[in-house]
Amino acid sequence: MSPDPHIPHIPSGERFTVARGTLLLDRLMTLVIKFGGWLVMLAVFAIFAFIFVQILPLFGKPSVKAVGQVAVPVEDVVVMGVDEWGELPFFLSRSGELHFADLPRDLTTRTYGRVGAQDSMKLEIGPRGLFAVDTDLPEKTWTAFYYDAYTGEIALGSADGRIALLKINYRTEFLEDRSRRVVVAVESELLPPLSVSEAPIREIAFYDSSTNRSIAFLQEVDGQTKVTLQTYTVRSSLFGAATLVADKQINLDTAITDEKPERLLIGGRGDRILVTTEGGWLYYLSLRGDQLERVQKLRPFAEKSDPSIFSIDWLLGKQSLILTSESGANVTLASYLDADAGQILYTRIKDFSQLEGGGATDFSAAQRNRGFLLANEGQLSLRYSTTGEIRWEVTTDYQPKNIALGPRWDSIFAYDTDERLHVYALDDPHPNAGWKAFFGKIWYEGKSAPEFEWQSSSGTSDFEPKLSIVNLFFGSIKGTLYAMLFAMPIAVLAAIYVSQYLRPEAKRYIKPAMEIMASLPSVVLGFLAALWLAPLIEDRVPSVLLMLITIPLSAALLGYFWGRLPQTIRNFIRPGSEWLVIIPVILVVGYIAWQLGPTLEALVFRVYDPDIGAKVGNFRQWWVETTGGSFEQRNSLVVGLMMGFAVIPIIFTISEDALTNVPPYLTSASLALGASRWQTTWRVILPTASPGIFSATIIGFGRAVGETMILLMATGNTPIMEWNIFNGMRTLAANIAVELPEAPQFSTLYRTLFLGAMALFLLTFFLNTVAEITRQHLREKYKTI
Amino acid sequence: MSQETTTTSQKEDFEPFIQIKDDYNFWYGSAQVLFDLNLNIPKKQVTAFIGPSGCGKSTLLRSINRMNDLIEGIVHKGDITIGGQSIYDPALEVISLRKRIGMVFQKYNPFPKSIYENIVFSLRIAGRNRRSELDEVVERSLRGAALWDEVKDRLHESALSMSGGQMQRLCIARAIANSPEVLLMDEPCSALDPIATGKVEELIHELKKEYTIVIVTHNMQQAARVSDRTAFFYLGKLIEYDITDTIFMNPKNDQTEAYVSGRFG
Repeated sequence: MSPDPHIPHIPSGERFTVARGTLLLDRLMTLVIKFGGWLVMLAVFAIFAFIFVQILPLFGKPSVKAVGQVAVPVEDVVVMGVDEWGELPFFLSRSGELHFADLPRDLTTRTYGRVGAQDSMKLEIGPRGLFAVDTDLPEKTWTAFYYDAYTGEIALGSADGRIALLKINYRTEFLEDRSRRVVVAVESELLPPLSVSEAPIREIAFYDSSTNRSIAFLQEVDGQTKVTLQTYTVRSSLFGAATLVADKQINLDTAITDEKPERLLIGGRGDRILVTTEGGWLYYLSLRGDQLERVQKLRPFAEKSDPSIFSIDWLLGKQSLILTSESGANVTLASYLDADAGQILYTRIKDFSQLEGGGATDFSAAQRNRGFLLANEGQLSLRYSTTGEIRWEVTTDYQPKNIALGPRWDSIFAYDTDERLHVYALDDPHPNAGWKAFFGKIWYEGKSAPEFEWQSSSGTSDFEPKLSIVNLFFGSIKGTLYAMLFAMPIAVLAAIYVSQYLRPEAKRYIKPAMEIMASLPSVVLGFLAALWLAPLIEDRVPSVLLMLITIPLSAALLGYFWGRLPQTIRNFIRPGSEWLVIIPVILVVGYIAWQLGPTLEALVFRVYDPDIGAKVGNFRQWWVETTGGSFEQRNSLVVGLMMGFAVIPIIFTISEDALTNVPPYLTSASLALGASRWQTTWRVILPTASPGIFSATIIGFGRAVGETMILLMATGNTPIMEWNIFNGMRTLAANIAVELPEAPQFSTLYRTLFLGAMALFLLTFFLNTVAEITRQHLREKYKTI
Repeated sequence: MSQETTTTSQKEDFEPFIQIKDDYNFWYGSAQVLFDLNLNIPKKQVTAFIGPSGCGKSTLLRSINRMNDLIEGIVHKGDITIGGQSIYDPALEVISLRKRIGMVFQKYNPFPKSIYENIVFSLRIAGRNRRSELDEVVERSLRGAALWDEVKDRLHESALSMSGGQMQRLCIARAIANSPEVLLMDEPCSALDPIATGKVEELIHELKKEYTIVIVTHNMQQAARVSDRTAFFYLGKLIEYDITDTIFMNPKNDQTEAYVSGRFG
């Protein structure tokens, strides 16, 4: 036989070899695909790692580094303070002399602590040396001092009962060679005699707001301690500087304090004074009219062995008091609005660990956060009030006498009894962060109990940031659950109907329609929710409730009666076209329910209207009065409906696929045994498709958790923790969007937003893992041959 | 055209239980698959449908319990009665029809449930959940399917853990759990190995004491072994229907003869 003419003769060796190109391409593609796979995993891991690196510093300890020490020979220093840059500390001596020490530049800037490039730098007095500035105050023996580092004001009380005010104004000059120099200007004023007594002033307190000043002081008169509060109004003329005009003088009746007063502070708006006594009591007195009234008397260290109050000082914002006892116990007291008393009271909100070696001999409050520095004879302790943490503590080999925290929370100055100044560089960018701040209940100042709270910023600089991630987590879960509550039954039931009952012709239209629904941008949905749906259902909640009940009920009832009809009548509707009957019924019932809403409201949700003097139907008010919760226009119901709408397509599509993929032989087996279509669906198809439906639900859940725009626009973004369906929430995702513009790079808020991102990441990771494990388990249980 | 007329033995010495009558015709859409069928199936005997692929024997079988209803666009003419009642009676619920007729499929298809739950499925859907009744039915059905001794200790294990032959016998047990009148078998052994096939065939012998069995098979030896009567179909037409021995030993029709002797198929 001749060989087939169509097949050219190729030697068999060649016929069976594979072309080099084919092999090469095969290997190349294998490599590319492998590489791509690894790259994806790497990318996910890199995102995780990046976020992790961003949040890590939040949980770090501060680093404090001793820069050095230098002799500053000033006699009998009573007040030490420092400028913004830590370059020109002042030293006020008991005689009223004011000295400044010129220190090298950049000693304590943050880069120092990190880079350490200036390790070789020696702390020494700079070219301007140690110089004194004339205060213009008459020579007196000063006996009492009060320094407010935030305003730079010092109040002095003299041995002859006179009071002077001193203000140190630091200013930064930039020279021609672009270098920086801190210069200082001092203002002073000797106040006119207060005509109380010429006895020495033992303690003094000063309060400064833009419109008024208050001074309170203690004097020993005839063996009795007198407390005086003098208020001033600030009158600023059109041309000149402001002048102080004496307003009222209140002499405290010592009967208000049954004990001997020891120390005092002014708070509130200059109308509260807090007096401590020898027995360890704290009296809170309030100025009402021309009288000081005793509002509260408490003993902060009551349960301690030595209840005496050794020191009392204001924290930034003058809402919290830091107290120490003689043995070194340390607590924070803060004011809050007491609901029962109907007024402001003080209560103990934090308990710090003991300051070893006794109570604080000096105190310095941070000027940008809730930190403070305590010193006693052999100890420096840097503490943070919000978290109740000790940031840093050191036992010194000198005796610190005066201390000051750098205004930028970057340096610590301690002046010892041997007239030496010790300087530390402080690197603590996130003092208010930590596990407790993010995940714990914290008793914030101004609150009546410990709570979870998120409020990252405010209009004032002395505000205490509240950074509880728990609220945002709660918000995410709340929004998601309400959305799932609405979406899941609809999506799964629709998937069952479409896969098991609907005629295939109709199915061809349903799936693309669902895809369009899925591709609607969520910003459009959010916009609709906020501007159309929210106002629409605001006044029609009873209608919506009625619809949510009557529509499923009418469909179920219709199904029930349909089953009771004789087969001959049912034959008019072909199997799979039952929707022709159901949809008109649902539309009619829905319309009737919508229209009946106001009637229901008038009948059931009745509240008393004082304007009319009768009971009227008003759901909003009824809800507020009945549940005690609030009613917001943009609430969880709106979110549930709209986000539910957004997640329906994804749950539907995956569930429908899972249901359709149930092998038809199982359906046949069930039907051949005489099961109805519903029995087949319920007993055979649903269990078999359950892994798919379960993953559909979890994927829908994940989609809702990560959803941002709808929540951002359709909720009030209030980080509250209530399940109330008629108020809003703030979710982790929306929070990132809301706060991003307010978070400077590497700030605590910036990193906290990353922490929120990490929480989202972990939440979805956790959900997916649980979903996958459960799905595998279900799949094993309901696997088919 | 003599080839196209149905050949049946002259006398039918039985009372028909299933009657396919009035020139039963069947279409999938516009394609006609069954032509002018008239066939009486005796009670408590095994009737085999044989014929080459695509001859319509399975379609006819699935018409008996109206499983074809699941397919879009089917049309029929003529009638099928079971015990004298038409299966197309508009007042008749398809569900109750199927409860009277057990069916065993070509490929074993147990539910992804336990052996026990597979068998009691037909009772549970009827709302019969009394434990003692279910237990009794399980034992009776498994014994009826000659499976009891093999699985009595693992009734609550997954049905999917069984061998193929066991699964098919489980499907038979499931089909007879509700004590139907008729058992339809659509090539029940085509997915089984010879040993399992032998067991199922033995079982069919036992089952015909209780049930009217209609079996579709490709395997002519099987038809010869298990059935009392055999119907030979070709291209949707009933060619010959007679006592099995007659069909195999002494066919009256040339096509039947050619098919049973293996000349085409």
